[in-house]
Amino acid sequence: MAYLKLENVSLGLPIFSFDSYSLKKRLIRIGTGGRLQREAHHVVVQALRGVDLELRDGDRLALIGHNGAGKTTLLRVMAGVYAPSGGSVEVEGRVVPLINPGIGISSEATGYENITMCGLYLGMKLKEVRAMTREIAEFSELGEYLAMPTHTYSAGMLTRLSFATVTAVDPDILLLDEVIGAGDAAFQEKALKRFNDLLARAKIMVLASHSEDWVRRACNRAALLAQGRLVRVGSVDEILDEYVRGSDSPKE
Amino acid sequence: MKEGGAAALRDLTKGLSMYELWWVTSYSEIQLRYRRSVIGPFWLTLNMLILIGTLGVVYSVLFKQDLRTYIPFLATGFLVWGLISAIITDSCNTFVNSTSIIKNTNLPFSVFVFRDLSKNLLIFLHNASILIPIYLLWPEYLTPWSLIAIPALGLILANGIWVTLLLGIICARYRDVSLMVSNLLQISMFLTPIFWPPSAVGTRVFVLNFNPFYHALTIARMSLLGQPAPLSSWLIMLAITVVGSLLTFGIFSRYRKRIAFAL
Repeated sequence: MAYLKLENVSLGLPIFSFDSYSLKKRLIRIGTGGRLQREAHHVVVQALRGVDLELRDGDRLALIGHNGAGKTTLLRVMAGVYAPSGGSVEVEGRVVPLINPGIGISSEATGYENITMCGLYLGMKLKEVRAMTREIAEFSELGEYLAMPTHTYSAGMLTRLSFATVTAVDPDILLLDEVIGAGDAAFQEKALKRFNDLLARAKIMVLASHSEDWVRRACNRAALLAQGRLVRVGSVDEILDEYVRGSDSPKE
Repeated sequence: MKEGGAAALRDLTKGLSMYELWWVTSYSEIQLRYRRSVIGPFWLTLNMLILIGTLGVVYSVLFKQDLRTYIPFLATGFLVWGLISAIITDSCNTFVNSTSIIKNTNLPFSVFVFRDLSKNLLIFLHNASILIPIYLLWPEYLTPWSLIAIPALGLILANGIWVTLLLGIICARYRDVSLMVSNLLQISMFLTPIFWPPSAVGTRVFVLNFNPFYHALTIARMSLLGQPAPLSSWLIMLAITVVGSLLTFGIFSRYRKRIAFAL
């Protein structure tokens, strides 16, 4: 039973200037009442405004919007990376954020060691990772290379390793920022099947994507985001139409 | 504030329970560091031995101590100071170095703290091998009191937890603090009796009591030398642990949610 609810979620993201990262400068400002230093307030960007969303088992939601609309930020709030400045987030179930796969890859470590590291970072237990290693290894088709350090790998091989590991997770809630790249054409077809299996295992899935193709294939609901606001939630067709029509950004 | 406290506690317990992650990560990091080198982790140890041997011979003359007293004193002090300064230095980068992981996963912050601490513990254990020739040459330094070295180190590590968490948070927000910290550490190395015996200060030995590093070193060094450390040092260390932990817990509770924004 997975559940994700965002109630009136707002998020003000502080953007720090180079100066505001300095403690010395801050103390000087406080000490001299701002006379010696220009005020270096940090800017707060309203990344999300009043987002209401409720997701249950079986929901596969697409997040659609222009760059900067707040898709990745929303995913991060769902993942628990950012705490909202207003509103609340309620989550039930194991959340696996695949916002940036490739976390934990160490170029000195062997393929096998990287599988273990990535798996652990993704929240798997050691036993779980070890049990899956053979299957991941076989799927990646990297053969003997797996015993070698990954700095010897080509970019395509790294992608395959990363893809194979990341798609082995067992999430209740899966959060994706764009579809994970799967490498070369020959790999694509079986990667597709594996990816679909992953999607099927997830009880709730949220996918932020610009790919109309993937959105139609993988999602059964969609949400339109513009300037941090959840403009509309509806069916995939509805939302895609609205997005394409360009009526998604009320100029403020 | 109470909610922050509960979340902070959850973070610490969950981080502790994810020991597989931080243990494997820190163990691998050390293993990998030396994968392409010959002697491996014992390079640092060899380095330390040469330094101690050289300094030991010269300074024992300067401080008018015989080698049998001075070299073990220097070796144990150096070893323990190595652990303490590494913990403090690394803590400034605990979160900053893991920016990408923190911004893309929901791992507890304490995972990074435990990762850095376990890494430094492992390095310490490697370096502790310099004690082997010392105990072989002068076996009188191994007594039942030597076992107290374990709780002494445990207490140092316990302090490592709050120091790492506190500095990790501060340095994530104010990036110039790490420079200040390394300056302070440098100065502390000379103000603390590591190279020089406490007796060299003469009648003003009492002043040393105000140096927290002095107490940390005393409890660990004396146990490694098979002697009981003064109760006052133990008590002061315990007090530092409690006060430091409470302070850090308060700060962590209040600012935990904002750490990711500063990265």
